[in-house]
Amino acid sequence: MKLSRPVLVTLNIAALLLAFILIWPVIQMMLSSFTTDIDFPPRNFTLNAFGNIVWPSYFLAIRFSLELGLWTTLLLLAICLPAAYVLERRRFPGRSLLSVLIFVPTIFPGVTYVSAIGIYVAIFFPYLRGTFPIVLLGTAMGAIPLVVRALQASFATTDPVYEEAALVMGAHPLQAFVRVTLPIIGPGLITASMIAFTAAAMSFTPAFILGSGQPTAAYYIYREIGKVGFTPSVAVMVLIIQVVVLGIVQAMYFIFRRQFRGLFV
Amino acid sequence: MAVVRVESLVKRYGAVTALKGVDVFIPNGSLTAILGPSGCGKTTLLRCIAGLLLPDEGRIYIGSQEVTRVEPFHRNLGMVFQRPSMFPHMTVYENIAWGLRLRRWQKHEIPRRVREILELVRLKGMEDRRYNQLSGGQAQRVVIARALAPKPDLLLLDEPLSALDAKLRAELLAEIVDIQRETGCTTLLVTHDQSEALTAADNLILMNEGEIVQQGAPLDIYRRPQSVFSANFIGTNNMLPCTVARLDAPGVVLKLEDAPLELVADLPAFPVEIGQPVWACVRADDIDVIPQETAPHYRNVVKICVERAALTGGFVSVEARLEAHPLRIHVSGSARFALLEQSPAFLTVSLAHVTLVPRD
Amino acid sequence: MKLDSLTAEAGEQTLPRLDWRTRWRRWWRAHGATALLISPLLIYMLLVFAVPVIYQLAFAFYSRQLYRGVLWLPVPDFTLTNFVRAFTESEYVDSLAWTLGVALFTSAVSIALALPIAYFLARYKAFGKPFIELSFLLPIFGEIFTLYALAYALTPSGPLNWLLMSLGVIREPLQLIRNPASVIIWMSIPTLSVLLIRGAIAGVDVMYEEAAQTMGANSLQTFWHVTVPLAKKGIMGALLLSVSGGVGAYTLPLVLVGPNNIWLATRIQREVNPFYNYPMASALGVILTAISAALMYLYLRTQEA
Repeated sequence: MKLSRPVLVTLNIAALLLAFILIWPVIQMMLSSFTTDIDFPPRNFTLNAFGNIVWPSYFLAIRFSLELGLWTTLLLLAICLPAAYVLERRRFPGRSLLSVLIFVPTIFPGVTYVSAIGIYVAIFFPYLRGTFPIVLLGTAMGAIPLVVRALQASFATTDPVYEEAALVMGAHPLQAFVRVTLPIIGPGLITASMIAFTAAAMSFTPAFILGSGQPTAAYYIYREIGKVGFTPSVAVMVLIIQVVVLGIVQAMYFIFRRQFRGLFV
Repeated sequence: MAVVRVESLVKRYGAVTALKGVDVFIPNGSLTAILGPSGCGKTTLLRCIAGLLLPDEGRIYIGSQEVTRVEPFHRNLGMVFQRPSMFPHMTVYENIAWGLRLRRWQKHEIPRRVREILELVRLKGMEDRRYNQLSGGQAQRVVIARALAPKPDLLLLDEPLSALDAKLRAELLAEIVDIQRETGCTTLLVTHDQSEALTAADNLILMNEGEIVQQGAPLDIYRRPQSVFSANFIGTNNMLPCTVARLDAPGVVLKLEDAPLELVADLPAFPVEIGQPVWACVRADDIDVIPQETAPHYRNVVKICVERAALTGGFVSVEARLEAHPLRIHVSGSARFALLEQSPAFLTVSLAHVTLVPRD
Repeated sequence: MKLDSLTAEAGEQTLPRLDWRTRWRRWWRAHGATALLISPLLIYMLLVFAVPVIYQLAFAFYSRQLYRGVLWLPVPDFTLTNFVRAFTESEYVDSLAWTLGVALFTSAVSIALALPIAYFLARYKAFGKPFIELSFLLPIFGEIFTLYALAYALTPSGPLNWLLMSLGVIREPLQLIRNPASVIIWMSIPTLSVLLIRGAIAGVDVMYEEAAQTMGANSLQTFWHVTVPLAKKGIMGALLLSVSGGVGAYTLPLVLVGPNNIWLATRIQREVNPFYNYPMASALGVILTAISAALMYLYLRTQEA
C-alpha cells in the first residue's frame, strides 16, 4: 500500500536505528580495545591493553577452540555426509521418521541436554569428566541439526542425474560419489563445514557445563571477566578470537572456492 | 553393438504397476524409438535396461549375456538424459576422457579418441570449455559424445531433446540420426513426441499403460494401426463406427452406422466376417477434397458439411460433419481455400487409406 | 474376470511365510548400504543425546543420598518430590514464573517492534538495506561474543549512560550490568523475528491491501485488518520461536547478570554445581524441555494450518 513520505522516512530511520543498536556493541568493543579505559566517548587511544593479557594461557585457549572446531568439523562431516546423502537420495522404510528424529535436539534448550550429558558422564564415567573427547562429543551434538540440514539442502538442489550418468559410464557408486557428487555439492560442503567450525570454535556452553579442563576462548574470557570485570584487555581477547575464527572461515571459503574443482579431479 | 531382448518385464511401484510384462526385441544396429504418452512406463523400461532400476520380474539380455541383475557400471552402455547431465566441474575433454578411463582404455589412445568423437558431434576445438561456457545444444552433444566415446554395446537416449527449444531440437535430432548411421551403434530412443519418433527411428515401439501396444516400422504403424490407441495416438485420425456389409473384389465394403453410406477399404490383417463391427480409421491428412463434377471418377466419395475451417500454418484444418459423425480434415494444396464454412463439399479417400481396427 | 483377479490377489497375500534368514538376506540386499551409511549418525545421537536425555528423565524421579559423607548419589526411589518442590518452593516457582514471564513479555514487545519495520523492509527498498540485513544476522553468529560486546555498551561509563546523561534524562549513571533489566531490554530488541515476519509479509499479495484501500480503509486499518491476518502464520511462528528462545535463555543472563541470576537455565546449572543435586537438576531440565517442546508443538501446528 502507499504510505506517505514522512511515514516512510520514519520507518527507514527506525530500521537503521535498530540495525545500529545491534551493531553498536561490536564497534564499542573495538573502541574499548584501543583505549586505556572503557569510557565513552573514548579518549587516550593506546595499545596498552594488548600488553596486559596473559598471552601464553590465552593462546592455549585459542588453540583449544580451534582444535575443537577442527575436530568437530571432521567428526560431523564424517557422520553427517553419508546420513544426509541417504536421507535425500534413498527411499527406505522409516525414512520420514528418521528425518524428523534428527531434528529433535533443536526443540531442547541447549543447556538442558548439555547438563543431561554432564550428569550422565559424572555418574557413569566420572574419570572422563572434562576430558577432550567428552567436550568434543557435547559440542558437536549441538551443530548436528544445522550441518545435516545444510548438507541435505545441497543434495536436494543437486540433480541425481549426474550420479546416474556416472554409474552408466562405468563408475562404481563410491567413485561416482567422490568424483562427481562431492565436487558438485562442493559449495554446500564448505557451508556445512563453516557452520560446524564456527559453532564449535565459538562455543561456550558445552565447555562450561561439561567442565572442560582446558577452557575454550569463550570460557576463558568468561573466567577473565569474573576475575577483573570488563576491561580493555578483555575486549582485546574477544576481538582476537573473533578475528581469528572469522579469518579462518573467510580464508577457507576463498581457498576452497577457487581450488575446489582441482581437489578431486 | 548388440541385440537387446526384454522378456516379460514387470516393475511395480507400490500399488502401481509401471510395466506389465513387457517383451521387446531390439535388432542389432537399429535406431529403435519407444513412443508413448507420459506415464506409460517407457522411461521405466529404459531405466531397467540401463540398470538404474531393478525390475521385479522378467529378464533383460544385451547381446548374449543376461544383465537383469547386473550393476549399471558393469553393463557397457551409453546414456543421454532428459536433463542436462554434463558434469559441470569438468571440461568437455575431462567429461569424455573420464568415461574412457572408466572403461579401461589405454592411456595413449584416449586423446585421439576424444578428438575423433568431438569431430563426430561437431564440437572440435571446444575441449577446454566447461558447462557454463556452452549452449544447451552443445552441452547435450557433449553428453552424446561422452556416451558414444567408449563404443558402448547400446546407446540409450531418454528424451534427449526435450530440454531444448524447437529449432535446435530438429537440428540435433537429424544429427543424432546421422551419428547413429555412421557409428552403427544400436540405439534406443525414448520420446513422447511422435514426430521425433517417426523422423528418427527405423523401428518403433508404441507403449501405453505399461504395455507394448504395437511394434514395427514407423510407416507401418502410421499406415496400419492395429488398435484404437495406435490409431489415435499418432497423427489426427477420424474413427468412424462401421459394420462389415460384404466382402467384395478389391476389399471390404463397410456400412457407416446411423447413415445410409458405404465405404470400401483394403482387406485388413485380421479376419473379418459379415456383420462384424469395426472402426474405419481415416487420417485427416489422407482425405482429398474434389470438385462435385469429378466425383463419379472416384471411389469412396462422401458429401460433408463444413462447420469450421481454420488456417493453421501450411494446411487448413477443417471440422466437418459426415451425417451425424464429426470429421476432421487437413486440406493442403490449391483446394484448401475453396471450402466455405456452413456449406457442403465432396471428399474422397483411397482404399489403402481406410484402415480397419476391431471394435467391440 | 473379476473373480479371477480377486483370487489372484488373495493368492499373493498368502505367500508361504519366509524364514527370518531369507527375509534378513532380502532386507540386507535392499537396504544394507543405506543402514550402514546412516548408522554412524544414529549411533552418535543415541549415545550422546538420547541416552543422557532418557537418564535425565529417569533421574528426575530419583532422590539423592550422601555416599561416604562426600558424594551425593542419585537413589532410584521414583518419587515426585523434585517436581513437588519445583512447583511449591518459592525459589523454584519464582524462577519458573520469572523466566516464562520475561520470555512472553519481551517476545510480545519485540514482535510489536518488528512488525512495522518488517513491513517496511518487505514492501519498500530501504536506504542502507545491506547494512540493516547484516545487523539482524550478526547477533546469531558467535552469540556469546556479541553478549560480551554488549556488556561494554551497558557499563556505567559506556555509551548508553553517556547518551542518557547528555540528554539530561538521568543524573547518575544507571547500573545496567548485574541488573536483570539489561537482559529484558536486549531480549526486547527484535533480530531474527524481523527477517521471519518480513518473509511472511512479502508472501502477502499487495493486491489485497490495495483492495482494502479502495474500500476506504486507511493505512493502519489496512495493515491491522488485512496484512497482519494474512501473514498470521509467519508472525505466530516468529512469536513462538522468540518465546522458546527466551525460555531457554542461558548465556545472556549469565554474562549480563552473573552466575547467580534467577533464570531457570542457570538454576539447573546451579543445582549441578555447586549443589550436586542431580535429581533436582534433572527435574528442572525436564520441566524446561517440556515447556520448550510445547512451544515447538504449537509452532508446528501454526505452520501446518
